[in-house]
Amino acid sequence: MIILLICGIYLIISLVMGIAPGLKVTHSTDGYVAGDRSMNLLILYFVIGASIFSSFAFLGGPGWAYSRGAAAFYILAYSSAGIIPFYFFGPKARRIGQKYGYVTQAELLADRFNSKLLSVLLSVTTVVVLVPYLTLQMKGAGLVLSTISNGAIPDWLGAGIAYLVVLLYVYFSGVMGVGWTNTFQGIFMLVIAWFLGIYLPQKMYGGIGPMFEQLINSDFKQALTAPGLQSNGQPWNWWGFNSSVIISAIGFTMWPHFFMKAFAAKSDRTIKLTVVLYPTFLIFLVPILIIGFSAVLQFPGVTPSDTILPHVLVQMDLPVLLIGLVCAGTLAASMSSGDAIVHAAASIATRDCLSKVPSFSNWLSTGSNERKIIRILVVFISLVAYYFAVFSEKDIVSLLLAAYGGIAQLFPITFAMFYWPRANGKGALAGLIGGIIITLIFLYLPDLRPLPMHEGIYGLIVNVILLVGFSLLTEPEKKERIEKYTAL
Amino acid sequence: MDLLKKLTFYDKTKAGFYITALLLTVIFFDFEEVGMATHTPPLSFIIPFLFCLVGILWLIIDLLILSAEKINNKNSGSSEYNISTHLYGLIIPGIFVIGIILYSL
Repeated sequence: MIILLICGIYLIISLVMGIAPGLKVTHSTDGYVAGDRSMNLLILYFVIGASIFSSFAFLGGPGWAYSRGAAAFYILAYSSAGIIPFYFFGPKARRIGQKYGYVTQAELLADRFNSKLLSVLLSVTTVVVLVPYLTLQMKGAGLVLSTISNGAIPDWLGAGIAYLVVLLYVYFSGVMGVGWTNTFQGIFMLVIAWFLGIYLPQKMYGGIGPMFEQLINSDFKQALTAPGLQSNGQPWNWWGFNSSVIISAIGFTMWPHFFMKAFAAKSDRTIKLTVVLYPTFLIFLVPILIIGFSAVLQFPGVTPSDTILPHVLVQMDLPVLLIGLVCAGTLAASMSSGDAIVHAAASIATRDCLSKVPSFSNWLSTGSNERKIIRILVVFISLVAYYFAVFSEKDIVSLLLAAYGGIAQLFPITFAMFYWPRANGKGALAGLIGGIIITLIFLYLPDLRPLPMHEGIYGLIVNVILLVGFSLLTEPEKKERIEKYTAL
Repeated sequence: MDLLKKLTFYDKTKAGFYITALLLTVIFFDFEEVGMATHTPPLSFIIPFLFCLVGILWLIIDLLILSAEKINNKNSGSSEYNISTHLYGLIIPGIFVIGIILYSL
C-alpha cells in the first residue's frame, strides 16, 4: 500500500508540474511544439538527458551489466561521444528555425533539399520508429508496477495509469510540460539511481570494491574483460563493440525527439552549454550498471536479464519506502522518454506529413487548427502505442533494433545540409533510401556481412557514396537556398 | 426531426458507430471483472478503448475531408456534423476508458 501511495504521489506531482507550464506559453504551434523557443539551460539539460534515458536505461542497463559484463560500458562510450555533433548542428538549426519558423528536423531538411517527398518520407519513418519506442516505455511502466505490486496492478493497468498522466500533461502543455516534468523526473532518477548503486553493493558485499573483488575471483571474470560478452554468452569482439559505439554515437542526436529540442532552446549558448555539461548526466549510468553487477553472484540465472532490477527489489528484504521510491524512479525513466516521444511524433506527423496534403495545409494554417490536430494526434499515437503494448504480440523489439541503425542514416544528410553546399535533394533521397535498405538487409541477413560490424555501418557507407555520387551527377540546388544554411 | 433530415447517410453511419460503442460497452460492462489481477484487460475496457482508437482515426480522416471541401468551396451541408458527431461520440467511450483505469485502483 505504501509503495502504491508513493507512486501515486509521484504521478500527481508529475501531473501538476506538467500542466502548470502550459498556462504560460502562447496558444500557437510555436508555443506548443517549441515552447516559444524559450527553454533555458536547466530545462534543456534535463529534457535531453531524461528523454534519452528511458525505461531501457533503468531496466536494460542493469540487465546488460548482469548478463554481458563489460559490454555494458559501450553505453557510456557512445553516449559521451554522441552528443558532440549537437554542439555544431544545434545552434545552426536553432537560428534557422527561429528565422523561418521551423520546429522539426524534417522541415529543415526538406527546405534545404527542396523536397516534399523527403519531408513525408522522414515523417512516416519517424512515426514508424517512435511508436515502438513509445510502446516499450509503456511496457516498462506496466512491468514495474505489476512486479512491485505482485500482480495486484496488472500490466495493462500500470501502463494505463502512467500514460494517462503523460497524455494529460502533453495534451495541455506541449513541450513545456515535457520540459518541466523531465526536470523533476531527471533529478528524481539521479537520486534514486545513486542511492541504489551504493546501497545494494554495501548491503550484499560490504561495498563496491569488495563486490568487484568477488566478481573477479568468480566465473564472471571473463565477462568483466573488455569488450564483454554477446547476448548468447560468447565473448564479444572489438569489431562488434566499436561499430556499435560508432553507429549509436552517430545516431544519438539524430533522434527526432532529441534534435527538435534545438528549436526550443533560448539561445545558441544554451545549446552549447548543455552539450558541454551533458556528460555529467551520464554519471547517472554508473550506479545503474553497478546495480546489475551487484546481482550477478547473489541472483544467478535470472531471465530475461531486463527484469533483474525488479527481481532484486522483490527478493531482497528492503524497506517498503525504498521499494516505493525505486518504483517511482523507474516510472520516471519511462515517462520522461514517453512524453518527449509522443509529443515529437504528433508534431512531426502534422508539420511534415499532413501539412503537405495540399488542401489540408491551408486549413491548418488558419487559426489554431494546427495545434488542435497535433493534440488529436497526441491522443491517437498514445492509443496506438498502448494497443501494441497491451494487446499485440508483434515483435516490436526487432523493429526498434532496426530503427537504431536506420536513424543514423539521417546523419550524412544533416551534415551535408550545413557543411556541403553541393549536396542536393536527389543525392539526399538516394543516400537516405539506400542507407536504410542496406541496413535492413544486413539486419535480417547478418551472415551476408563481410565483417562482424553493426549493420548501420554498412548502411552509412552506401548512404555517403549515394549522397556524394547523385549530388555530383545532378544539378546543384539554387545558390540563394544554400546560402541561408552555409552562411550561418 | 429537422436535424435527422439534414443528416446524410454518412453522418447516420457515424452516429450508429458511436451508439453501437455505447451499447456494447454497457452490455459487456462487468464490475467484478474490473481490477482483477490479469494480464488481459476486461472487456468493459477493451471495447470502449478500441472504439476510441477507431473514432479518433475517423475524426482525423473527416478533418482531411472537411479541409478539402472548404478549399473547393463545396458545401455538402453536413461538414459541421462530421466533426461534432465524433466529439460527442468519443465522450462516452473516453469516460469509460479513463473511469475503468481510475476505478481499478
